Amino acid sequence: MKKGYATVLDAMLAIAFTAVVLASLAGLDMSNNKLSTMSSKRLHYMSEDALDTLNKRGVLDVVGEQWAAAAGNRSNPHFINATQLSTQYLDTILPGNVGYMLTIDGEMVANNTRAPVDTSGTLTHSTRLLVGYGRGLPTRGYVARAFLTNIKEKTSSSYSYFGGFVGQGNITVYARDIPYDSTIQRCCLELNTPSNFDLYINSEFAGSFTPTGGNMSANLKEGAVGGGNGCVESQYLELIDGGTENMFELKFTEGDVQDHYVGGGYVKVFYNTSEMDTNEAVKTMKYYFPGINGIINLYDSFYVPGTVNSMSLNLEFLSNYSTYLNIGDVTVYNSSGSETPQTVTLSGSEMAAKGFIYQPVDDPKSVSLKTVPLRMGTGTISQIVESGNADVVLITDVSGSMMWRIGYTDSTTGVERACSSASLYNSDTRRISLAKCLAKDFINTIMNHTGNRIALVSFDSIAEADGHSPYRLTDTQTNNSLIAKINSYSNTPSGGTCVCCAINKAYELLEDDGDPSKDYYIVVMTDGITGYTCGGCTRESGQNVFYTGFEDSGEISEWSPDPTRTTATNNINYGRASEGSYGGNPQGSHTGSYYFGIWGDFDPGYLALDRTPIDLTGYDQVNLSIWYSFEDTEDADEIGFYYLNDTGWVKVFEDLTPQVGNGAQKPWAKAQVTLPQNMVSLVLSYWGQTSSSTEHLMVDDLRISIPSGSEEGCLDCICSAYSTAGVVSACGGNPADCSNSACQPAIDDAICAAERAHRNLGAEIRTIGFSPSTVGCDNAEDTLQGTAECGGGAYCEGGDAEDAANCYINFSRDIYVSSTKSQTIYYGGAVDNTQLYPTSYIEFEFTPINETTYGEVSMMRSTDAFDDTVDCEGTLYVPDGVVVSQAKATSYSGPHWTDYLRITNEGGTNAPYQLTNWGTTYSILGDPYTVDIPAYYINSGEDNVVYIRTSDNSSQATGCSPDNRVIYTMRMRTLVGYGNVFPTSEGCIWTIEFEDGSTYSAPIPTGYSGSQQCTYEGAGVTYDEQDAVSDAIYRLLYQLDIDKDGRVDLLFDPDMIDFELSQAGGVKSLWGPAMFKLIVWI
Amino acid sequence: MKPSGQMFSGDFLLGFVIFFAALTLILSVWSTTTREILSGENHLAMEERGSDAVEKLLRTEGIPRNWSETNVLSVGLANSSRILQETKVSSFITMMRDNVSGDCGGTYTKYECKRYLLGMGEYNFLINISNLSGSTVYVNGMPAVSGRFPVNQSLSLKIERTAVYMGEIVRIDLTAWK
Repeated sequence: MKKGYATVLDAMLAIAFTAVVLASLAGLDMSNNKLSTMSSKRLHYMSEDALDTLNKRGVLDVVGEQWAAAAGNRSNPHFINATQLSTQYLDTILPGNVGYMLTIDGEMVANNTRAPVDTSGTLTHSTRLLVGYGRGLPTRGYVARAFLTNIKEKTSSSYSYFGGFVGQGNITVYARDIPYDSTIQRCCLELNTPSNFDLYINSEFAGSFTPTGGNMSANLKEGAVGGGNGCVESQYLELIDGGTENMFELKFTEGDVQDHYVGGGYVKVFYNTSEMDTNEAVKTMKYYFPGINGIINLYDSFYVPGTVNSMSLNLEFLSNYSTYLNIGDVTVYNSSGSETPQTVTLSGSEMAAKGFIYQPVDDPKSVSLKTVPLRMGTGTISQIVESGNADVVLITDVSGSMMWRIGYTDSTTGVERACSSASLYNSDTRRISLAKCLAKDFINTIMNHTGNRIALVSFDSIAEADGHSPYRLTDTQTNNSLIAKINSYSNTPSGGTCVCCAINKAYELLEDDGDPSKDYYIVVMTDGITGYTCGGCTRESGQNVFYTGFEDSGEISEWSPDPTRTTATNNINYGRASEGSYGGNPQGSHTGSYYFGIWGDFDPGYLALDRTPIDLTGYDQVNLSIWYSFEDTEDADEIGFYYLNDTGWVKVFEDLTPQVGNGAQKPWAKAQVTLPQNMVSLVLSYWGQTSSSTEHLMVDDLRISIPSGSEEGCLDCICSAYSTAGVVSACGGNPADCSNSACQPAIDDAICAAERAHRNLGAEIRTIGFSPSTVGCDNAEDTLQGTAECGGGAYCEGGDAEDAANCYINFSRDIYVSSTKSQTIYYGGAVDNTQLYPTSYIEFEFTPINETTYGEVSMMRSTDAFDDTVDCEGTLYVPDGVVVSQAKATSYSGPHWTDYLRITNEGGTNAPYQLTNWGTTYSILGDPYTVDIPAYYINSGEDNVVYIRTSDNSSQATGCSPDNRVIYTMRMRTLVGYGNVFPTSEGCIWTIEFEDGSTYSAPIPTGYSGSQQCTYEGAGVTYDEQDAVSDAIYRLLYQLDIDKDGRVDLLFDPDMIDFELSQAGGVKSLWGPAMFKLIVWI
Repeated sequence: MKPSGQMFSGDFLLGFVIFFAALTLILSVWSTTTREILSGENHLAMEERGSDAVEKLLRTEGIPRNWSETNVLSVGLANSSRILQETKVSSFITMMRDNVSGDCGGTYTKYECKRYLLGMGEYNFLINISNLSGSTVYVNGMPAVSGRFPVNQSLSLKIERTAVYMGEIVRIDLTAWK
């Protein structure tokens, strides 16, 4: 035990000893580390102090100059000077125990190893970047700058824009910015107008023009061949004068006033000028109205390139009609007509009181830096501003029952009354009297909507009742002439009722005369049961669960080869196909343009195509029908169509020997099955085999439907004829026949006539039940409801006079609203001339956002036409270093409104123009032809993608024109500042190539008498890089070469370049920077 | 009896001597190390204070920007970094004189009244501005020396910096001591 204690005690003593030693060493080390850190900090302070004071004392400048002059030669006296000077100072400034080394751009200038660097404990360094020194480059010498005092010539353009729609009548615009000394190169019109016209420049004839093409495009433009060429012949260019206003007048030479308009465009005058255009940015501007001599109907816009402080109006016009002016969504002026010219002036305060928002700029309704729509027209907004795009056929029943009283079902003759009669709506009024009056109201409503057209059909047992021919869409479209036709309808009608005849006649009129770009409407009015047939249609009723006519290629993608049942491996073809020269079909052809076909050479293999399952959940009694045919097939070919049930594939149709022979086609046939009850998922298979690519297996019009149990619904119609002269049926068409089943063929024919018009023409059929005879009468209601349903329209029950009137009113209003598209006034009668004088203007006082800098010159350029009607995008590339001061995107909107523009570049996406900012009812808003893009959204040196589109309302985009483009003004600086220091400043004999291909060769400066040759050409650039003047000239030429192709874009005489040279005492250069580095250690 | 008891006493005596010697050595090493560490720490603290003080004088304008002896809140001698302003140098030299009564009451000298501006804490200091040849610069007829001269110092160090004064490169030496 004692030995044990002794051992423990020894260990404790040893541990204590060791701990003390370690603690001491650790403490010493920590203390030394701190001291070392402080030593480094103090050394760094010394280094910084030394370099900074030498710099501020100017010593480093001298050292740098000597170093630069030595050009890297260490034995050069300049280098020795640099070394000695820096050593002299550093030896003194730095303590004697501190070693150092000074380097410039990595080259050692001074080194003192009084403290050996390899045994140093602490080392640090300081650096300074000094401008003005470069190894071997002069630190003093000549500098030069250059600027153009004038230009000999630049090629630029003047644009005089038309608005989105300027009409209607002869139109005048002015070009007000052609410089005084201009040499006119050419003058071209790019615009959209439907009519030929003569152009007068300053009241002198300047050529006839023949636009070629339709809406939403420039149908007259530069470069077009033939009639669409918009350029003025050269002999008329002398009519254009520089330095004054030039009037361009379009006098239309064909068509009516409704076709005398310009739907966007411009007059462009190309000229050469020596005007520098370096004036300061203007702070006032005027928007000038175009001159219109005809019917004032203007959709336009303006843009103020700055923050508007105030605006005033001077409007001069002649109009015997009410006239209004909307700016944005503000009605600035609205007055009744006058037979004498009117001048309207509104001061800035009066305009402000109208509610215009000038600032802030980011307010969506501010007129600052916005493309603001402007609308001026005659008539009230609701009557004239909007215009229609509908072709309407109004069908009036003039059968014998129309003699009866409107309020009764019996056959008592009603009282004939005029439309002005106070008793018109009495129940004893003769039905035809009321019908004719309501038809007139209908016409007035639709026709007040300019652009709409109406055809009229009356019917009894035939569509041309009483020997009348129908009033066609191509007949004179005036209210009076249409109403005259209505008036011609007999007041003592007679005969049977053939609704299908009338609808088939309407079909013919639309098919023959309709404008496919318009909306088609057929409005059918009848008071009775149709008792005449038109060809014996059979019609299925029911409700579609699923239908495809394979018109959509997307349907084909739902089908894919069954890997188990498909045995063919090569030469398999299937997909959407259009019918060839066959297709004769006594049972009624498949609908649409396409079928689903299988063809190819894969005999003896088979192709089985399975469809993505169709969900039938919730349907119990489901019918499946499919049309099929085949052509060029032989016995060896096979075709079949199946569905899958619990036990396997079930045949819908199958033909294992489809022998029709070459050049023959099996008439289209329809196969139909009823699917098992409670089937929730329908899997279909289309199967076949052909032995050549000319053999086609065809299916079409796949329909999954359920019967409605009534006559409602609209499925297949199969008709052998579509007559406009009825064949009397066993149905008498009297009130007693409301439940007569013998009326069904006539009813089916009427419904199928509507179905055809809807299917083939896209027409919308609306029906009006006239008088109580149609109320509660099954056959009458079935006819009208079925016709409307299969015609894609609506049925209105006009059980008495007021209800009938409401039906007419509501339908006319619906058509009025839904077809509003065009911006033209369609005027069909005599009208007093109205004039808008081109001296009218809106003046703006504003603070410009782009302040012009002295020494800048402007040039106008344009992009190519976007030619992109898919994405509606075009690209504006602005060369690096070029400043765009103004940019306008053009938009041929046709009958639509240009309503949105966005620009995308690396700076992001911005939408500087949205018509919805001014309201969602476009018809009261102006329509810009040019949409300004604020310059600050445009980046130079990269692509700026511009998207512009048109719409009819805020949710209905209507595409864009391929002729859209961006016209922009760029500003170039015509001076360059001082450059670097060069040993000489003499000049050179320059050969300069300009953008037009011309060259100049002359000494610059003109007093230069040396022989040095310099070139700035597309082939290359050479100049004396050690001469200050030549360097300045080169920099100026490069700056004036926008696209950097070696050709200068401004033409100038050499003596138009001024120089400013400085060489007094030598000018310090801007070479470098050079890095001065002081390394110190201890 | 065996002489084992004597052997034990001798061993004990020898062991005691060795133990005592070791203990003395340990205490000596401990004491020396501790003293050196404390000395180093003091030196470090003084150097840090001194470096900061000179840095402030050379690189800052002081507060207010055109301070005078009566309104100075923070002292700095520079117009811009390392370029000293004559009036500030003059004011500083005057303000830190140790042989002139201060204005802070009692018998305190100006140095004692204003030394806090340099943030030297418990350490005294002496500032000397000289040209590169080592001669003291004169400011308004006064040698650019101010502060308290070292007397009986237990610890002292000198911090050397350079700056530009009156267009010339000068050396600023700050001697900190305790």
